[in-house]
Amino acid sequence: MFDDDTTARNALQTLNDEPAPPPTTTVEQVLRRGRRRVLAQRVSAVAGVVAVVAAIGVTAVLVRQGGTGDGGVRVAEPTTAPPAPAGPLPGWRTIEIDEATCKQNPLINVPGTAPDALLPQAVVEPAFVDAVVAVTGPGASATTAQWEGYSPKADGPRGYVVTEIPMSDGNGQLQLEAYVYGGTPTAKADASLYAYGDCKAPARHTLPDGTVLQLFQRDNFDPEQPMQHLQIFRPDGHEYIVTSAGWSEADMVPVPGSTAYTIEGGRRDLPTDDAQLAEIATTLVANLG
Amino acid sequence: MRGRDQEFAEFFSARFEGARRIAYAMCGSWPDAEEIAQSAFVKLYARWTKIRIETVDAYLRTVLTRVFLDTKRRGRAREQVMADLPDTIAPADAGPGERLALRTALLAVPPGQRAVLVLRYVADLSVDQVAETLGCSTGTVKSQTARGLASLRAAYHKGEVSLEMRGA
Repeated sequence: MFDDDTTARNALQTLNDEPAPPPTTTVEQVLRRGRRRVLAQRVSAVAGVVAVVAAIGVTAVLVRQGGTGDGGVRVAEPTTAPPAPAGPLPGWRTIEIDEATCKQNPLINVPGTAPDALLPQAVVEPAFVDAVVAVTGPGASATTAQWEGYSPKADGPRGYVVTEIPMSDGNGQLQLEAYVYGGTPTAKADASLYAYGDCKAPARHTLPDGTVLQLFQRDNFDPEQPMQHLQIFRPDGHEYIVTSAGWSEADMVPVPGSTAYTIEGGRRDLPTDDAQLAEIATTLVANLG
Repeated sequence: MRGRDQEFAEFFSARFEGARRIAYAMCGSWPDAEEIAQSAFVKLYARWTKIRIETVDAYLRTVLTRVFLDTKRRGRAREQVMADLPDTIAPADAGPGERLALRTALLAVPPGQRAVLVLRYVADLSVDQVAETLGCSTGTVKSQTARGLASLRAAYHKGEVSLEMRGA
């Protein structure tokens, strides 16, 4: 069976005959969500233009004010200029990516054999919670954790830990996901360049033991609920994803008749900045040993 | 309803069910398929005025596949379901045993290869169309297809042996 195109097609086409439940999605729902997405894109674009225009204006004023009597130009002290976008953290380097390739989201295979299992939950969960507390303070607390030997969502073992972090107008979250992978940390990091970050260049740092950390820029799919991801690829085939999220359990509304939730609120900010997220990752690696 | 929305609504009516079926073949769950298809149409709407109408089917397939692969990649520590859940049909009622075995075997194929198999054989696209959808070369599609079929074959035979051992 499935020895050639014809037999494979004939067999797999039978899946189209499966009875399906009636769809519940209406065009009104899609239009509503679509308009929200368009609006968010426009707000983001306008904010970018305003920032650039403001920066040009401020720079022009400062250069004019900084002009010397002999007609020369000296650089003004940037005391009133808006903060420049943050560059990579010390010791990290920016990985340039091709936006067009990123938007295609190509399949990239990494050859290699993955470990059979995750490290035990009893090892990983306290290592992560301790790292979060060490960086964000004693207010952090673990709310949910689960370890699965096989997860259909990951096609392999998967574990996760969710911690809640106090913020000014509610809680945010720091989440940890655990997976296994085959191949080298760098090859896996290269294959994962397009996973997060809205196709903006991530930053990378390699620890002395060969662990590769990959920090993505903020995902702003929904400005009310921003997210930021940091991937950790250890040389022994264990992968972790630390996610900083601008919402909490309190914002999750259960979908009637299912175990699923929708997220109905958000902080519009993250509980951590780049440096804190990176520090949580390096502390986690140190705690895991 | 404005012109743009009217046009989009007509396209949605004509294509949503097909997209949902493709998503179901990829993910094996009607609730997830509903969510994937809905997310794909939301993204499509946001780009609607920028897509040439003759390429809109190809664009939809690309977005749908990308949403599926993103979902698999990210794992989803939380279930962020935007769509209302459709009624679930129990696997035992899903059809003949062979189709159920096939469905189970397909879900055992790694997501990337599974997406290729679904686009190639369930959606019945050419190698060139699959390459365009995934943004990769035709050579990659061919190699992914071969690996996917090998995985499917192995999983399918494993399922048959398992059923035999249970006396089925």
